[in-house]
Amino acid sequence: MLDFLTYPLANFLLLLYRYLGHNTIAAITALTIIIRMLILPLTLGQQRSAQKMQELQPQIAKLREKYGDNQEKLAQEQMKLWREAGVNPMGGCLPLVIQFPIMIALYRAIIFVIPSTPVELFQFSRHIFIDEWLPSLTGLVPLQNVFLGMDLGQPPSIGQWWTYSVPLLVFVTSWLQQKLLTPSAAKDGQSQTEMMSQQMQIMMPLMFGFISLQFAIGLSIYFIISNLFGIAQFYFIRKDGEQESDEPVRRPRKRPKK
Amino acid sequence: MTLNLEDDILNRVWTQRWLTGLAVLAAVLLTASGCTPGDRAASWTGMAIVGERLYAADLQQARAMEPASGATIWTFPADPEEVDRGLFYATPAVTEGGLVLVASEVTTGGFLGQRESIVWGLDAETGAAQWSFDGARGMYVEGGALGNGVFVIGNGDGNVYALDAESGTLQWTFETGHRVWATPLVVGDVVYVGAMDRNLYALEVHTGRVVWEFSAGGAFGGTPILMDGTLYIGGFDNTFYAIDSETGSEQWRFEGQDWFWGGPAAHNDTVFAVDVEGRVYALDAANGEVRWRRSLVTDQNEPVPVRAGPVFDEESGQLFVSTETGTLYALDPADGSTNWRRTADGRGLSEPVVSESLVYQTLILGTHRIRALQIGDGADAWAFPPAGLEE
Repeated sequence: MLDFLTYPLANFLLLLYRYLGHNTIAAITALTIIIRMLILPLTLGQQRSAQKMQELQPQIAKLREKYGDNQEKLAQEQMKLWREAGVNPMGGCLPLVIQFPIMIALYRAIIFVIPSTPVELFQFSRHIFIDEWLPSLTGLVPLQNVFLGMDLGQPPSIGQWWTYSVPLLVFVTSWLQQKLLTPSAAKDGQSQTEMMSQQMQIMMPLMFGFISLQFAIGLSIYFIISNLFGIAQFYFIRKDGEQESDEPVRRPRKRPKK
Repeated sequence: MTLNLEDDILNRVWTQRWLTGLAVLAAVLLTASGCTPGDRAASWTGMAIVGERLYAADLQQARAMEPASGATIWTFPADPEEVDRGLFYATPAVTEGGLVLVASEVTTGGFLGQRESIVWGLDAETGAAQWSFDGARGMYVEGGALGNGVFVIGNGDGNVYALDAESGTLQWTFETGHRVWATPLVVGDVVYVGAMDRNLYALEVHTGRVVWEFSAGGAFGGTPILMDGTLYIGGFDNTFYAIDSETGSEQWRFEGQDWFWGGPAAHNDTVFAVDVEGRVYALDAANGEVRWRRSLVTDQNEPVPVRAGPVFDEESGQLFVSTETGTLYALDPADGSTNWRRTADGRGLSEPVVSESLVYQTLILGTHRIRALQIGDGADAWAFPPAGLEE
């Protein structure tokens, strides 16, 4: 499954490893950044949507004041507001869904180049095609597998307690990224959709943290770098947004003068 | 644009589905992709024939069998359902004191399921456990080697462990830079072991002190052979090496076209090696010149993947190669022509074993895990589990 994606990724990891000083962490980091750049159009849309949601919070608070007793009307007006602003409240899910196959292919690529079992390595030995152009790459497999005393091809283990800091970091960075992407709700109440968004803010990091407990630490490195990229991306977008888009937000506030 | 209540309800339902859907999708995709850390065949099984007994690791159990009939004498653990002993992969070794040394990988259950690797010292007559060693963190892949009362075995945690063969007491460890999956070779007071850190080490068998180390351009996954003071071994840099066993200096090298994983075999002044794409080479032991080469291919002319090294049998004068496709080849060592070949369901990733009139092949992911064939024509002698008892 996903071999069409897995083997090219594994070969590309070899290439990056070769040109990044035979450093596995550097190769995984570079590959993660490249993947994040490739799915940038998707994640940008997700983050801009989240930012718009944030900007709409004052108007949503006003709607609550106005229709506080009428939940149906409140929900209708809220949806109307989002639609007019071009916001999909669950727009954050699509990039996540698209990332799953990439995540799985990357996981398999990592266990091919830093295998913990010989069957995995033997399987990959027949799919190294990049050595057709760069014969020196074939001898690089398996890649250097130890980072800070941790085996990148193995999941965290009780015998090496410090390896559990990795799933913890995955959880924390994932939570932070999710928190930035999830618009904060008004203090005086939440709609069903907002409550779901808040749940997702904790569910997704928990899920990624759990995956990190069970799978190779190399995959967790991908999660951490990917989350840090998402956090950095958020701040860059916010900075741009602050500089460029004050006007569209203020314009509706002038309308009540009618 | 006006919105009605149905829109709102649909929106709520859709939101809930997204949340549960995401979690389910992640689980399904991870499982379907084979990424779950479950009990997939992670390695290959091995066997050894010592005296009148065949000792095999067959995933579920370690077992002693009658080589001629395949009748089981004992198993460890006695009950195949007793899975807490783990999965048995590595080739067994038998000590002078009558112990069978096997290794298993145990996966503990629970939220933080852990893997534990254990070397067992079993009574060769009964299979009862006499001692165990659980000091390694990684996987034992191939077997260990015995010499001077010491059992030396490499582990996936990057260490070479030396245990007292009769008591299991740890004598020394030697740390390499990567995993050690190959079976070491013990000759006299020296143990030679190849590692994934691209080095072949010569260590003192009593202390683990480095005598010399030889660095190559790729990892070493197989066991070297020693002939007339020269070690022969192939690596993952597509290169086959002849190395002086006293000094570790290179005598010659042969550039192949793909990885050499399994250890080589030798006959007279010829060394035989197979790469992972099924190319079989006969090399002059003195200088590495190719005497003949041939490729093992399927009926569709596709290369046949080969993990295990070739095995030469002096009695029958044949070269045996077990392939990933389950085919066992008997080749003529003079020119590489096929004397016979037999295909079975499963993957033959470990070296075949020859004893008297039979050749034995171990298989994973197939109907039988061990099969015995007549050495002359490849006719079936017996198989385990026998037909009808497939598990």
